[in-house]
Amino acid sequence: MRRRRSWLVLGLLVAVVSALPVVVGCGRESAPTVRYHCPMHPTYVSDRPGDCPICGMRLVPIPPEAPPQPVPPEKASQPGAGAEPPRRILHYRNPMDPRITSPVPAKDSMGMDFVPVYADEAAGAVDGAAAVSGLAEVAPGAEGLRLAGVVTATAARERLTRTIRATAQVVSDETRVRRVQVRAGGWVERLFVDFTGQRVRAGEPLLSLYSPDLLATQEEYVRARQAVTRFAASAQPEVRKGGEDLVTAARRRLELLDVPAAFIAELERTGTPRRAVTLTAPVSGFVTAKAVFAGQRVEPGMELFTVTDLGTVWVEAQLYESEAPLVAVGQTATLGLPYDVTLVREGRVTFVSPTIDPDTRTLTVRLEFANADLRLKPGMFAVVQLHVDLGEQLVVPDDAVMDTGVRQYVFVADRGDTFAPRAVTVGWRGDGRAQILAGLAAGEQVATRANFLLDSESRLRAAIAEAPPAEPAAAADGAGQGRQGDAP
Amino acid sequence: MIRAIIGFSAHNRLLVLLGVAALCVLAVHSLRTIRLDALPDLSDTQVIIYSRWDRSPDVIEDQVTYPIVSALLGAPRVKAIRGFSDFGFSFVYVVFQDGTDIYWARSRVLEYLSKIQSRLPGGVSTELGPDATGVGWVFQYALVDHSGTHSLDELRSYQDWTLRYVVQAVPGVAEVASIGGFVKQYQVTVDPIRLAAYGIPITMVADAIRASNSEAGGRLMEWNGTEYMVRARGYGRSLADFEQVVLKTGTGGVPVLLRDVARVEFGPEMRRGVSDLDGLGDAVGGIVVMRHGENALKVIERVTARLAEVRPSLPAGVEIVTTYDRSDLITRALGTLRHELVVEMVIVALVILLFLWHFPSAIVPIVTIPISVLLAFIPLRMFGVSVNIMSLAGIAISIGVLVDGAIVEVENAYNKLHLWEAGGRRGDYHAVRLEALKEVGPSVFFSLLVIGVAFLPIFALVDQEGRLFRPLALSKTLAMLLAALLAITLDPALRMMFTRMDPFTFRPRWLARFTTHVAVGTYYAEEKHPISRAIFRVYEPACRFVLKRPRRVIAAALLLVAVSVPAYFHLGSEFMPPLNEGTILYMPTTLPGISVGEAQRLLETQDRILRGFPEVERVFGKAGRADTSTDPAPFSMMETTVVLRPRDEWRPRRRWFSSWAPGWLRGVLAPLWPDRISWDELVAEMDAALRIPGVTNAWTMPIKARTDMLTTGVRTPVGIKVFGADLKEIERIGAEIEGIVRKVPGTRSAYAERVAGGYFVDIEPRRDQLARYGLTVGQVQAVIMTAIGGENITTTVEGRARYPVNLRYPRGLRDDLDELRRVLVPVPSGAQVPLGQLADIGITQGPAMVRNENGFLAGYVYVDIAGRDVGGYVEEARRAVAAQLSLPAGYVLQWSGQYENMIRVRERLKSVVPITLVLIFVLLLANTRSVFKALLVMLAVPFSAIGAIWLFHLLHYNVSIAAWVGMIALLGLDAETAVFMLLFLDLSYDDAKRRDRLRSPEELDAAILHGAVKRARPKLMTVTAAFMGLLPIMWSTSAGADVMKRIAAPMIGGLVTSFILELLVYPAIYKLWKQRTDLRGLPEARPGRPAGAAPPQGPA
Repeated sequence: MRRRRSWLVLGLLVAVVSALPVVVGCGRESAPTVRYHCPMHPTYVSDRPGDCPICGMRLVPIPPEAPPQPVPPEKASQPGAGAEPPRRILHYRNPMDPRITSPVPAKDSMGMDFVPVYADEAAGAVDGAAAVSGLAEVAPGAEGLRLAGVVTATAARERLTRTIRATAQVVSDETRVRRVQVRAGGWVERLFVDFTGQRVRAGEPLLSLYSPDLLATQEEYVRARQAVTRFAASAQPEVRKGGEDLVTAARRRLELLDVPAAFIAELERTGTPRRAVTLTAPVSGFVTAKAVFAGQRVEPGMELFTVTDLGTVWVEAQLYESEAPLVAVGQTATLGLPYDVTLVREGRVTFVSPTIDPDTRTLTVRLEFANADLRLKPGMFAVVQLHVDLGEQLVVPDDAVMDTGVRQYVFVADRGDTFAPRAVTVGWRGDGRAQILAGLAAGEQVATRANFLLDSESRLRAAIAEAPPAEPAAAADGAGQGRQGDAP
Repeated sequence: MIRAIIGFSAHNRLLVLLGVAALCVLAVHSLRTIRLDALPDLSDTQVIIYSRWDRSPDVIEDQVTYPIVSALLGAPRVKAIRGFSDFGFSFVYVVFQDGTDIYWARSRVLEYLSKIQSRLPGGVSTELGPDATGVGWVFQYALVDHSGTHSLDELRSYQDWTLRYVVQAVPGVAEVASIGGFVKQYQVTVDPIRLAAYGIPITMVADAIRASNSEAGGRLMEWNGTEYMVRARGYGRSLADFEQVVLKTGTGGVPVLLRDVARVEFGPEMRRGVSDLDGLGDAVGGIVVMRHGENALKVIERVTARLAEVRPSLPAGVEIVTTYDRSDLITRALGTLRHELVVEMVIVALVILLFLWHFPSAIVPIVTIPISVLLAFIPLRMFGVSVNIMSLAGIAISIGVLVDGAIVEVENAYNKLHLWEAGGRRGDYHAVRLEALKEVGPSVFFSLLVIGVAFLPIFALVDQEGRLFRPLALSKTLAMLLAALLAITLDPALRMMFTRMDPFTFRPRWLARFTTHVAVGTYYAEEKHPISRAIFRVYEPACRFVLKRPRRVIAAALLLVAVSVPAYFHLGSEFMPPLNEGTILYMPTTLPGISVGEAQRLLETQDRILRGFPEVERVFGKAGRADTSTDPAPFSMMETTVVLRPRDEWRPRRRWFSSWAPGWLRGVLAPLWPDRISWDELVAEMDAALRIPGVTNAWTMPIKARTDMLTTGVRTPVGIKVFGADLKEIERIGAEIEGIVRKVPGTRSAYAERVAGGYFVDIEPRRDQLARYGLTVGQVQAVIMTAIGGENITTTVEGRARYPVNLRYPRGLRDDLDELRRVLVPVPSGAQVPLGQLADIGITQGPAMVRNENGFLAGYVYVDIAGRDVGGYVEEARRAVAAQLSLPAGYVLQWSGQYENMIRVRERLKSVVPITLVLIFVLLLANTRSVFKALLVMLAVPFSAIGAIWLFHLLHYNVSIAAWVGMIALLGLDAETAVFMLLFLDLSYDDAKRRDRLRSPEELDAAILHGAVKRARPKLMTVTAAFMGLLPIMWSTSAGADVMKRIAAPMIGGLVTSFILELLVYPAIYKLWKQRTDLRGLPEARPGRPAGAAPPQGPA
């Protein structure tokens, strides 16, 4: 009796004790789907808790809410596609290494099925609208987005102007430069405009010149006119005509010697030749060069003054070869000065040089700017921004585009809080905007702030999803937990 | 011999007491001067060579790290050389063999470094890191401006040039590192258009600035017997000084000054580290790095004292805010342990008093505990071990055991005296008492020695484990040895002091009664003893039950052992039990490549959220590097120190007793049902609040994190290092190996390190174009370095402060690729050509950090294994890799990892464990004089393992070395109780034999029963003392208790099972053994005389 009872008690005890590890063990392995990774080396993924092999930190469970799948390419390439037609399978690829493909379904060395690659996927890749390898969709949730500070913007068709910034120099309008010369030699009696840079108006006296030639011509003219009055009585028309011809010829000579009309009129009125002739400014402007001094002998052909009209100026911008194809006559441009921000002028391209300066490797582009207030002074350096109209284009904020050098992608807000990476072809970037040539449609939302974090998350998700599952044999064996701990 | 010592001590009581008193004085002195820290320093002997150069990782690797590493190859006593090249920094860690003197190591490094220094490129500043590690970050502070009048660069200047030096001068401080704010910088922003207009190349500007900021001397002049020192002044001291730097003289002698082509202003230096206080934005902070091997507590005390001195002279409105202070942890942790020690001593004393019910006897063990603990500090200080959680833990777990010897001795004396009294007081009771002491003395001494010797394997541990547990093993072993010595010297002497046997009879009567109780006591018979009676009632029937069916009991016990084995394999593992430091270190990580601005924004958001928790007192975040070689963190690694409020200010949680229990009762119930939210809950809440996409959160604690980060090598059992010249190729080979190794049986995980990508803008000069313009690559690079890179071209000297002068293009002209292409490069003809025409500019990705090991670029494949012998696994994996991988020329594999250590430890253990076992065995043999008994004693070990394993299961603890330490401690304890158990069985058996009372099985049973039951009290007393002594540790929730719990848990669990099993199984085994040897044929035969075989020699 007692014996049997003691056996019973013993058996019961043993049974309870041996059941314990199972019970306890069950409690531990209740959530088999939870995977763990190292918080410092998130790409190290394990199917059970433990320490990170790299840094020894305790592994933490991977937050489950985010979908641990890389974005299915078909979603990215044809958003909202309804009933799908039967898709043509192009080939099968190794789930671990997309470079390994097979024309027929196969298993890889670890027994994983090859995944089919559909024709439209491959085509999508050609379009540039495919998912990006190594990146996965992210769903951080509204709170996560707020914390990360994600801001979105809409991809929109906009009139895109590209701005080319170029250094430029203000020069005088070549068409408005006048040289003042004398056509008869002589001596400068008086100099009215006696320093460079003086502003003159058209008709303003510049200098008075004593010229023996001119005096002689005046005399001639006066004589001729007197002769005409004398011959006027003559009945002979030839004589009368000869006298008039003489006057005409003399006046013509005076005119050809550049004697002002007013001077001739005066001469006609008084009939006395004047010793000195006054030269007047041919145009209004600035005396930009003066080579004459009072009392100086001047020869015909000598440049005495250069008078430049600065009411309109030219600005010659130096563009580098790469920008040459973009400029054309008629484009608008803004001119600014690096040292004076208040001065902003709008102008136009009036001329594009047909050649490139071999020394500086630049192309000269001429622009014309009104300069009524004369603030633009020839010789000034300026910055010209040429606005090149690129027409209606699909653009996103420049910040939206992640650029790894070999590929560019954006994060497209899918449904709600989900962001999917999308490869895009970027055309021109600048002015805070980027032109999207392929990969996006107008109206789609892209993330423009905290992109780095989205990118980071996306890579992590992809790495986690790609992390190979542990060997089942090893998974069942908890003994491996004893690391160095087993040693003593 | 031992008996002789006991005899000697008993006779020369005064001498012994005086000797002990003298030692105690010495011990108190040692305790006062010994080093204090929270944890032992786990760092290797390591010298950091730290170079700064504003270049990308690969350039640094090629030009700085590689030459340095290769120069150091072959330096003596070097274990490993590892180089890391980050943007702008090169770290070379030279790890020396254990036990190398740090200063010897540093001078060797300097010696080897001097060979190479001249060959490093100009502009590289190479220095030796401080004689400290990241673990030495003991104190951190931030400067807070309440007045709002000081800019961040002013605060940083104050920190850099005043406060830093003040604190750095404190003894024990190796370095004070600055973090955050802005370093003031003279920024010369040139306008390329104006430069082009004047025809001045940017390189000329740099030269002109450099040449306009120097000071010289004209030696000495003598006039009138006085000597004058000639100074040529010329340091730039203001913006205006730099604005007037002349660049060239134009036509007509008109000078072109710097201000004509550039803007000169103050701005921030490029930042590689930002910080944030409480989520309020940029803050300036300082990190005090303690010198290796210093007394942390003392250093912090001195630092805080110095800061208090500085306080009055701070700029108006500025306050120094402590953001991290380790002294708090140290005092709390040590306080906890001190408290536990006291509680233990009190409990043990009470247990002894209760069990003996005799004050003169109880006083002996009670005095022994503090004395042996105290004396242990003398050798500890001599060995240079600091007082820390581990060494105190060693003492704490030994307290319950320390007294055992004393208990057994006095108990035996008590018993013998009682017999003497009951037997009519025949002979001199002094002799009786001495005889009693001598009877058990050797057993006591040897069993304590066994406990000491059992710890030998701990000393075989190497590296971090060794450094972590050596203090524990050392303090415990020393305490045990001392207790063993005291047990045969002080204890007999003390026991002999109380010589009186007769009650006092003087008046007043009550005083006489009291004195009698205290000094003489009453001697009860075992049967009449109040405690014994209770024990008998329980144990006697159990023992009878066992003696009736010995075989079955043994079988059941073995079965119990067997079922515990699978339970063991369910336990997790960890390197070190968690030490709750009371401060959270939040370490979010992003992928590399995050910019300063983004990092700072993130840091602020995180800190603001963390600050929002009511439990949080202060948050100090850091992204990127502090200005010290002990901090290699890139921007992608943020570290936020979260200082918490005291535990009782945390949010309360409703418990069943919350509504009615008074305060004192809550204090009692709270440890069982915490009425505040727990640490883990808090961290979980914080984690949930900080789910930021792209960021992975790590929650750790400051010391733990710094300790973890110290290790730069492979931590998995097996690591395969791929050495070569091209990182891409290395990565490819790594991935291939990962695939191969994963298929080797026994692989738990294989992981090839991914090279984390940084982003690069590559400017590749087109040589044909350069040729066309007559440019060299260097000329182009000079422009890139200045115009884009904004290199610091010179440094101003303004009193104590020094500020860099920086030259670069305006931000708008260099912040995208298009603009970079327009950076002008002066060509010899005088024209300036845009960079885009001379070079290809593009974005690429490359390694953000380059690792160099022993001169090669290295990539690691981490392999964890399970359920296999490491050596065999490595052999097989090697073969698999060799067969399947074709290595390109120039690439080398090296098999490394913890398995090297494990093998090394195993090799050592292969000799140490047998030696230990043999030693224990020999000691037991010397004690019991019987091989069988010695083996029997060692049987206690599996018994104790049962309890240890199951308690771990219940508490959800992981197996760590700490647990093993506890097990080993238990082993000694088991052996000890087993020795006593056997001893009393023997004594009873011999006694029965002497009286010829062994003529039938019933009589044998009776003898065994007598030995087991009648003498259960001393055994129960020793076990209860040890058990109760450890129990308060399990209750404790304060700092440092977690570590202790892991060590104490196996002891507590094991103690219970081993004791119960010993009590039940030993009598059974003893009976079978005696039946088989001494009394062969006796049980079934007629009651006759005992067999003639000589009885085993008990220590009679």
